[in-house]
Amino acid sequence: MSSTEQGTSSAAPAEPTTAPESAAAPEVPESFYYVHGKDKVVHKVSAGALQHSALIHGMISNLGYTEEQAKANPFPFENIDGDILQMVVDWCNQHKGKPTPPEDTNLPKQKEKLFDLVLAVNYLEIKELLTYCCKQVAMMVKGKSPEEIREIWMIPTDAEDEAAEKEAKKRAGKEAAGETAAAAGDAK
Amino acid sequence: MPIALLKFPTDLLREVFKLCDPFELYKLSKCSKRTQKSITLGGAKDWKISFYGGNEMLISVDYSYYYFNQAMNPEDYFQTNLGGYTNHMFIEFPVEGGFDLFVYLTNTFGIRTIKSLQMMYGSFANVSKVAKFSIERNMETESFGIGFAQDVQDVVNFMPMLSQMNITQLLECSLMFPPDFHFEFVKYPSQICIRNSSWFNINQLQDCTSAEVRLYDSILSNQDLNAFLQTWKNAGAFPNLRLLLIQSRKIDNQSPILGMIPPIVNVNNPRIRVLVHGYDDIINAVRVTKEDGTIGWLKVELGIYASLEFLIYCLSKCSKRVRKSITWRGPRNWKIRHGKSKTTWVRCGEDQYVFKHTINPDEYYKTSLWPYSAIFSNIQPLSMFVDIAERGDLFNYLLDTFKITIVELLDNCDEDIEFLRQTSSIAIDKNMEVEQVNLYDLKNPRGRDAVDFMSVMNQLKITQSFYCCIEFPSNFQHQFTTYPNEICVLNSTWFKIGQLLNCTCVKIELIGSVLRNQDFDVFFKKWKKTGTYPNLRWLKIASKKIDNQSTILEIVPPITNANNPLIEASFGYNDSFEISKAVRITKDDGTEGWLKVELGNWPKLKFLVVKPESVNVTNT
Repeated sequence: MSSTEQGTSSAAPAEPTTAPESAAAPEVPESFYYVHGKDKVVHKVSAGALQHSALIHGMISNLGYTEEQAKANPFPFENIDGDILQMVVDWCNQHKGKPTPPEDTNLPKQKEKLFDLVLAVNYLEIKELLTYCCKQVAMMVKGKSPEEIREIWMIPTDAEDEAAEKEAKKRAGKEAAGETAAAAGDAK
Repeated sequence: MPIALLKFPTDLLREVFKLCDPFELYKLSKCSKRTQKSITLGGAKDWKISFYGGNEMLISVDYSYYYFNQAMNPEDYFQTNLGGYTNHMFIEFPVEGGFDLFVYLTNTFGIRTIKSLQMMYGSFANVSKVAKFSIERNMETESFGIGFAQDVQDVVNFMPMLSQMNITQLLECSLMFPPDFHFEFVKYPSQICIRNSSWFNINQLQDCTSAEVRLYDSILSNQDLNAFLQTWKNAGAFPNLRLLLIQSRKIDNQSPILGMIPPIVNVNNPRIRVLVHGYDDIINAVRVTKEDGTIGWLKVELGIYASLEFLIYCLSKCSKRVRKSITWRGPRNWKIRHGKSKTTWVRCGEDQYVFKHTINPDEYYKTSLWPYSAIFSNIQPLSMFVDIAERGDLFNYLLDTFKITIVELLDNCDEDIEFLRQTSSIAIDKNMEVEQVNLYDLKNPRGRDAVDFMSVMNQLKITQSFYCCIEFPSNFQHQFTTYPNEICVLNSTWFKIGQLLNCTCVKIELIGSVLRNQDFDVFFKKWKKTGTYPNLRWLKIASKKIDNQSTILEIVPPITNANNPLIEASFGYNDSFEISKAVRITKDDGTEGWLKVELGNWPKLKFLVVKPESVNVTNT
């Protein structure tokens, strides 16, 4: 509601003005779409908020869904956890129709979710949020030693990499042998 | 909380690595072979590397410098001193020294450019190996310097390799070579600076394609320099040359150079300054003209350190080719405007340059400090006389040569509305941004000229402000198609309510208005609605038609509230406004505005929209 603080007036109020107000353009009602993640919880999001996601924006730009059609056909993102999708939707809503500032204080803070969040944001092609998330990932190792970096970014040592490679080769060899044996069995 | 970085897809890894500085990526490369490899997957970087022969390597990232220094003790490994622009990290240097580290860093970071390679300290072999590596990898070396070598013969043996290097900007050499040393350049960087240059003979000077040549301790004689300058005078010769400085013990007063016996000076000529890579000045020089009209300034002094200085001035006027090459540098953030006395001004950041026509050829390209203060700046401008007579031609010449896209100011202060129309048309045709338009009320206030110009003005892309104090005829009408940030209209009878309702300005000032209480009531009712006038911060209207006969937002003027404080708000560049004893009105979305309407001989309305971050409140 708007309000007016009454000021000092020395004369009686006159008749309200009859001057015409310039014709305002009719407002176009905002359209909404629905998305859900792995947990099937459906989130209602405005088309304006979804513009942040190049992937979704591309999907909806030519659909012309009515409200009912949109509700009946939520976009499924089965590869994204429900809580992660919620974070992304919240961020999109907070930044609807606004340019994103260089430092975003609305960035989701949960470090334990950062990995999944980055993957989701990358998949949904939300460029600004991706930059913020990547900045957070990069900031994790500021001023750290290689040993600490290895721990923070879960980097295997050369020996561990070599062992894993050997293991993978061994497994691949076994699988190939199994397939050959199966093929020979089939041939008989 | 750890995060499995290497499980990221490559494009994401690249995004993360882009945000890391050289020290972080170096430490990451030391985590494992796999991480080192994954850094290179991020693609080549436009970082540059420098090596001076010692136990230090420098990586430049834009204007930040990252020094990798040799740590004396293992406990110092990866210790960093961060200083904003200059940063140091202590590391374990490879056993083989600088060369191995150079290879490691260029390979890991995908660096392709050597900013500076200098033989200054340490082992010459290391620098030589880096040079060889740069040839094999086809790397660009911006600057190469030979300053020190324990054994000069090492450098003599190295010199053929120098011909194969891709040195683009500067070659510096201060080494004293043996008397029989001889070297032929295959190609020249844009600058050469050679001390002990007795081996650099006239044939090399005649072949040199550099823009700047500095030779010290030379043995070039008057005859050599005369021959060189005679060649230079031919059209098309030495198109790149901007500066020649030769210090030679063989320059004397026994034979002429371009028909003049040294010393060659002209005490009547002014200081000529030419911008090459920094500033170089020449004072009291003699003007020398090339066949194609290019002008050079020559000065030869005798004494123990006899020297010849030669500057080619006013680059764009050197030749069509040179002018074209200036435009290759692409658009600049320079701005252009006209000034009084038929001058044209170019602004480059804080610096301003005044171009003024002269009919006296002896004055062409003379520069001096502009005697009057400049608008928009405290720095005194530099002025130069030019040979382009028509201001329109000069305007076009500067626009095209410097690729200027912004007109800082258009005005009619010189009473030449035809010229204003002409330059406005150029700005429209070239789709230029015009920051300000000022129309002063001059001798011909009611003439058709100003009225006609308003239709041209509507096509201009005015971004910052429009100031107009012309008293137009009473039947004059004008509709803006777009609005700049600010408008200030004196004699504003033609600015009607319809325009005010559509105005998108941040700041509006209308003096001599005929708007009435009813108009303002309509305006403020519209303002109160969410989403209207999102830019508006300041409105000031002086109108004789404001009275106490009808209400504005249901209040009869005067509209004041003595209990309300002084509100000061700042916004934009250097702009601040205050309003006291005003009445608060609130928009539907909660935005606050402060309104004050005063009656009397000069009724006026002031309205300030405040945002919390820009407001000071003082109780009065």
